[in-house]
Amino acid sequence: MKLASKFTLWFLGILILITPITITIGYYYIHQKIDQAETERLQTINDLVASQVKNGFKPAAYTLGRPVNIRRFKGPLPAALKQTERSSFFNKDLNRQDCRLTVTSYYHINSQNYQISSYDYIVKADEILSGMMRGVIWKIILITLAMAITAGIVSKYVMAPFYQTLKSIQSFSLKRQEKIYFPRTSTREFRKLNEFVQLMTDKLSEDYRSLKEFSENASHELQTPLAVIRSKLDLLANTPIQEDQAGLVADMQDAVEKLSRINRYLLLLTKLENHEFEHKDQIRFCTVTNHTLSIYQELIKLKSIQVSKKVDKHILIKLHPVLAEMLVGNLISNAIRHNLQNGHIQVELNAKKLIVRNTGIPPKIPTDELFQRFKKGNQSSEGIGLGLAIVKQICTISGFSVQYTYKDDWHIVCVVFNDRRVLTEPAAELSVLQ
Amino acid sequence: MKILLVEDNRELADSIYSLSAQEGYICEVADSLSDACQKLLLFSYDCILLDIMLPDGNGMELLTQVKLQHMNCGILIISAKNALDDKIKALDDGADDYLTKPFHLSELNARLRAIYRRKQLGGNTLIIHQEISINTVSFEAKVHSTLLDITRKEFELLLYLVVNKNRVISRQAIAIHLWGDYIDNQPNFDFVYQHIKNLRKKISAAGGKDYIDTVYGLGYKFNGDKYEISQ
Repeated sequence: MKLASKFTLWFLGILILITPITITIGYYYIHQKIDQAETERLQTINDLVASQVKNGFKPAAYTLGRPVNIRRFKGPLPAALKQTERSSFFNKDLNRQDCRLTVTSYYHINSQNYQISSYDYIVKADEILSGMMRGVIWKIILITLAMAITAGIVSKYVMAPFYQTLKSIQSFSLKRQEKIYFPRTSTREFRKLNEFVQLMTDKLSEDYRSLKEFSENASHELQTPLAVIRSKLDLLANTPIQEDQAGLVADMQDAVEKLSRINRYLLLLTKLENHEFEHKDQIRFCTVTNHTLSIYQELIKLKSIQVSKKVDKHILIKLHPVLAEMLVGNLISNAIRHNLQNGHIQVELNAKKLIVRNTGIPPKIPTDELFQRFKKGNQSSEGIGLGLAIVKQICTISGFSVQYTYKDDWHIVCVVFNDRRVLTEPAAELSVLQ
Repeated sequence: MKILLVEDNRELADSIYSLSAQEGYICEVADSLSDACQKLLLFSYDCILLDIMLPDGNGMELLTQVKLQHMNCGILIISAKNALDDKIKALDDGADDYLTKPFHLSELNARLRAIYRRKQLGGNTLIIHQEISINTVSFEAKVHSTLLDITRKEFELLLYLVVNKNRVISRQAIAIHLWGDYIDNQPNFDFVYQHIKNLRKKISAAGGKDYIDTVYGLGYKFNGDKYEISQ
């Protein structure tokens, strides 16, 4: 719901809530005022009549045509010299309820007690109420209409700085490393928002830069000592050494190999997270897939693995070539590595997805967890457990989804491409190769 | 071969110096950009081994300078930066090759030799050891002038072994040389053994001697002196 509509609804809600209360109050006061005015008028009439009686005039001269009733009575004057009485009755001629106000006053004139009463018809309460209701309904209708019409226009004007800010944030990119500026606004809240966003983006840019610097420095700082160790081991291996010493050197070489690989992969993951692999051109994913398969040919033969592939031609995908190679390479080398002797691999590629299936021992941990860093199906295995983490990361930044399932003795990794990154040419052909 | 090594890390420079000594190259070490510039003014080199990140500047400056002055020396960049962009930029700027740290000395040696062959030996593309001759342009290997029927990978393996004659080459170094990063998450290097086995078989089938020694658990060595000593 739009902010303007929210405000309007609140306002209308309050209006609807307050209206009955104001009607009640208004009704009460109007009603009271009418009664009071009428009572005062009748009282004055009574007083006038009384003074005429006192002066010996015939009251008829004054009461003529007026509903005044003069009665002489014996006995003491009542405590209240003035009594008002309202009575309602059904008026047959008008066919409605009518209301009559009677004012009765008592006087002591010339040692006689008189009772003078006069009455008049007054506007009935119901009528005041219905009149007020009609006015209020008109008022509500007009206010609602006016608000509905003006809300859109006013909000567009008032909210303009907000939308401007939103647009700036949307187009903000850490990679471009440019500051964003906001136009000045007179609304305090928006000014606060802009200040906050400005601070936040500045901080983000700063953090991003230092993170990038760190990853570059880490690369240099770690790679160089690794290069030293590796070269020294190479030199050591070339000195005349005995078999047991050679064994030690070989173990060290293995460890250094693994260490440098972990370092490289972690740096790669950092770079992926920093989105340093933006690419605007399309690559032929089918070519990448076929090329990768041919690179692993020897390894496939070594395990006597049967490969069947169903790779559509002309699959163009917007992806950095390094990432494409890494994605396919990791999936296929995993499929080889975790395969059985004389096992099978099926590679399927079309414009929608890439599926790599392989035979192998059933997974010991839930397949989803294998995408986590340093999670391995077999913790003691030689791998470093970052291959699938990298696959996942590549998919995440490219907007692909990736799933790992184990079904009917097959390990299945399925990468579903992001439609916006795929561009297919017609005339897709199938090539089946054993 | 005369080499100028520009590297600020002493230990790594020492290792490369030792390699040069073993291989019979003349190697001079410069630990900064200014030092390297001075040496380049006074002497000429066949090949420059250049680290990009130096204490007093970027190694790429030296590269530009060498190219501007049309010095006839090969340049091999050794860098900790392994981003594709860095590699492409260095090669575009005129470097002959780009090697990422950490590297195997045998790999460095092989690349140095390759640059030297291209730059200094001109048309000489034939590498000969006794009865084995390797043509690096046509990718052909002959034993006693019999053409060996070997795969591309086996050819590269043989070349790598012969170029690193008498050096112990670890299985990892061979694997990385032949497959690069693709080999990353393979659990063992048995496939290297398979390749070596096939290569040995093919050479002996063509009447060649077996020069390839297995060195304990370490790796392999193309033993060039093997039969000279025993004879």
